[in-house]
Amino acid sequence: MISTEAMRGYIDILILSQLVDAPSYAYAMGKTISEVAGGGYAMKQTTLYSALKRLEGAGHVEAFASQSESGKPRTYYQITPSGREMLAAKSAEWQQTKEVVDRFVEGIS
Amino acid sequence: MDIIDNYLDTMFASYPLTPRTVEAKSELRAMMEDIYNGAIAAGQSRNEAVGQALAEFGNMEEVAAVLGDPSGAPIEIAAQFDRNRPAVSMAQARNFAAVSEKTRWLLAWAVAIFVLAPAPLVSLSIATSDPNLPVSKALASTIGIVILLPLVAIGVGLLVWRNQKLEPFNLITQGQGHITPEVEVFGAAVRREHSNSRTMALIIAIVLWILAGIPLISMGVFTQDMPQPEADQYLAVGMAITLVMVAIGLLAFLPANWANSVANRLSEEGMAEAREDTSDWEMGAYPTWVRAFMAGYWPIMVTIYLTWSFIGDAWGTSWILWPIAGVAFAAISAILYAVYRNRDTQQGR
Repeated sequence: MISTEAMRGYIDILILSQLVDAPSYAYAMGKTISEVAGGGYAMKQTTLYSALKRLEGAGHVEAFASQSESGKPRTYYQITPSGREMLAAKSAEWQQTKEVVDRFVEGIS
Repeated sequence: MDIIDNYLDTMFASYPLTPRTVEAKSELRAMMEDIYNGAIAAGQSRNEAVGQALAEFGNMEEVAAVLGDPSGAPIEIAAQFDRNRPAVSMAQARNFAAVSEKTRWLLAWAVAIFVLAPAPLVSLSIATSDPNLPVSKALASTIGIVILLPLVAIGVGLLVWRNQKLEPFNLITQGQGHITPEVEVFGAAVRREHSNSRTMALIIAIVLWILAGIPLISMGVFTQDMPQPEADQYLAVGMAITLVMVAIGLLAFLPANWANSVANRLSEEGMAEAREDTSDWEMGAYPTWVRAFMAGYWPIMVTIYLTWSFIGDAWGTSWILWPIAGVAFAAISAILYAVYRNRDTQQGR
């Protein structure tokens, strides 16, 4: 299981990437993260909620009220143009980070 | 969902009521409700679903940043924790509850067997007061003891087996951990989920325990005008039925009480109690000769009883050994406890 600390810088990628095609709400995003991570990582609710509020505060996502599939009122989030820019920048940063770290990891394995 | 609401109330207790906290609480509640419903849809029990929602909650300190609380962490909640003891994790608490539920019959049968074990001995001893019976009193008592001892051994075996299964949870059972609010709320959820069946079982058990007096009393009344040896036959049966009813009451109640015991353990008061119990029974505080004496006392008494009864044919009087041995054991234990605990405490200072 990947620690929250190790994932800290990339939480925004995990959230924003899910909003590229359509808006979503917290539980659905958390569930997708767990499913895609396949048990390797699960995002706590407080982590997800505080990240969404932070992204909203920075103008990277916008919140609006809607209904979930179960018919319950939920807060949905949609990505803004600045959010898309941030996602692109963060993704590029991740690629670079991965390449640099890989060069060191390959050396020891 | 009451459990989740109580949990959130506890988590938000130290934050002032502002539009931001109200929003955060309601958003987190919605997320927990979704996790709960998702777990139920996936076939989990209500118990497990609440456990999962609480386990996935996370850390309030993260939310504190969003709430704009300059002090950061929720100080009041954190202050309750005993930081010197490791926290009991939600996974440990859930496993502890699961193992307690699985082993509930071991405890119930052990206690019921302890109650039933003396029934043959007592009933046979009473019944054989009739000299015309083909079975002598000595033989009857021997049969009774031959049944009693293996039953006690089985009861002890069941308790040892149960303790072994609970061994991985020493942090909880010996009160060595500290209980976080989420674990405590989980314990309360387990108790609430099973409280109806516990109440029902308690009512059945109490009714049985009250009615248990009837066989013995009614046999006494019924045999009032009979000659003593004949009356004893009926009294023996009455005594046996009484013990069986008490045992059935225990079998009804004890298996239904596991959730309550789990909830009691998963609280800071329960932890403190467990620490006291453990230190009371901590035999390591005593020197070897005391431990040997404690372990050998009752087997020695049984040997003395049997030897005295058989050789002296003293079945009518040898029973006096038991009350005397019981009182003596209590007195000796109290003295040893006072001497060695006192010494231990002084050394600890």
